[in-house]
Amino acid sequence: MIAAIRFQLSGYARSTRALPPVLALALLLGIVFSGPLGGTPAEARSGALTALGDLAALYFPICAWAARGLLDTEPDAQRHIGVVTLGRWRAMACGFAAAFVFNVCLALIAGAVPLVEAARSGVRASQLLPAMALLLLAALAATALGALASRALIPSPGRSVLVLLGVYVLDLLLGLGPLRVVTVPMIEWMGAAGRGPSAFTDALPWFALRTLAWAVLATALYARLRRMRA
Amino acid sequence: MRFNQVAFRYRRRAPWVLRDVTLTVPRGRIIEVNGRNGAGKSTLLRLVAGVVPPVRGSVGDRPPSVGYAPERFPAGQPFTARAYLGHMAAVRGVPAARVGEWAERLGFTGLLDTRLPDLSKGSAHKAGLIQALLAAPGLLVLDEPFAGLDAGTRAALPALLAELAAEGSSVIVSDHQGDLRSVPGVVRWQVADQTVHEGDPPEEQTVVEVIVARSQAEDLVGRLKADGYEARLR
Repeated sequence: MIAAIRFQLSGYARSTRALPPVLALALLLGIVFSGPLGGTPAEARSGALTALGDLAALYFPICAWAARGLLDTEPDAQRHIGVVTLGRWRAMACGFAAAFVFNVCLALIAGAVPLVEAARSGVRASQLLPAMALLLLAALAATALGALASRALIPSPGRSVLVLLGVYVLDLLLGLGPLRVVTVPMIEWMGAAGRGPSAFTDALPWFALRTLAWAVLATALYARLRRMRA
Repeated sequence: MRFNQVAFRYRRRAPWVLRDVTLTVPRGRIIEVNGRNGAGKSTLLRLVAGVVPPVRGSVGDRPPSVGYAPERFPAGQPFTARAYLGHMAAVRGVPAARVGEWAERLGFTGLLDTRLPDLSKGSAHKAGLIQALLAAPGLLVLDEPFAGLDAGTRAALPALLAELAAEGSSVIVSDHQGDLRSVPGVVRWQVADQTVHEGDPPEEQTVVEVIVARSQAEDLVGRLKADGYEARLR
């Protein structure tokens, strides 16, 4: 399976499809970190955690886009060869894993500046690690959304982009109302991050649980829909 | 390997491509799949290879190692042929040296360092054949393998397939151009009317007029019927 994951990552990295999400992330990081996170150590601590919270929500669609791009880099006939070579479930798992690995790299890039800044300004590892875990869980949920919008399930590129952006926007809108419990809690964690480190840290387990549940359900849906498709 | 009452269509409410297909894939034989365009040959091969599962019915006892070469090799990939085939060898868990061996047999060695998108149609097709052959498959499924190949490879391929069948592989090939006619012992499947018929397609019938004296006509009709012909007096 590792060879198959390496093959898909290698194909994606060699194609130009990997570049747009990376550039979009660079642009996002440029905007978020255009100024210092804070003057005093206390402000820097607060600013670093706020940035981590904001980033997890803002880089979600970029990760979903990257996952879709990675899965769509493989031509249909090559995907068929992969299914025959590895078996249906293993081939699907390898594609998903490759997309998640790429998104973990994006998460590490996105989290690098606030993590370094937070560590320098004296934030404890016990506060940083859950925030980093949230970034990774957001990457997992975004990978599942990207997979659901991939060509294997939605052959039309236009519809696929609509589904990807539509689900993201719907998630943000539902996050404002009473149905927010069924969403990836992006609006809430941006709000919690803005209220300060303690509010953010306290809310992390609940956010993480909901994000994980969303990712598991979306991945299960992807697996079910792929069951009957080549 | 066995198909039991297999039916397939690509979408719900789409017309059935295949229905009630029950057949056994014999081990150690070459199977030639024939049928007109759009009859469902490629779909049948995809079901055999396991690219798609049947919508109804079941497919059982598929060998663990399957090689599959699609009708059109996906050449739009950012690799040289060597890198691509090296990846495929790694995915299949076979030594990379196997790539060189098959490349030599199919006259592909000089093209190994060519980028896949730069290969001609026939050369890309060879890359597809090599990736399918890498793992000594128990089941080899080739969709139109002769299309676009140069004369030398086209002439050599039937013997290569016969060799694999003799080693125990089931080799299933769709072929329009009759390249397997020279190979003895080929099993033939005919895809038509949403199902698969085993055996040669029925030969086209024609009418022969024989002019004979009236007194001998009944005798001649009797003799022709005795020889197995359909004959009648007009």
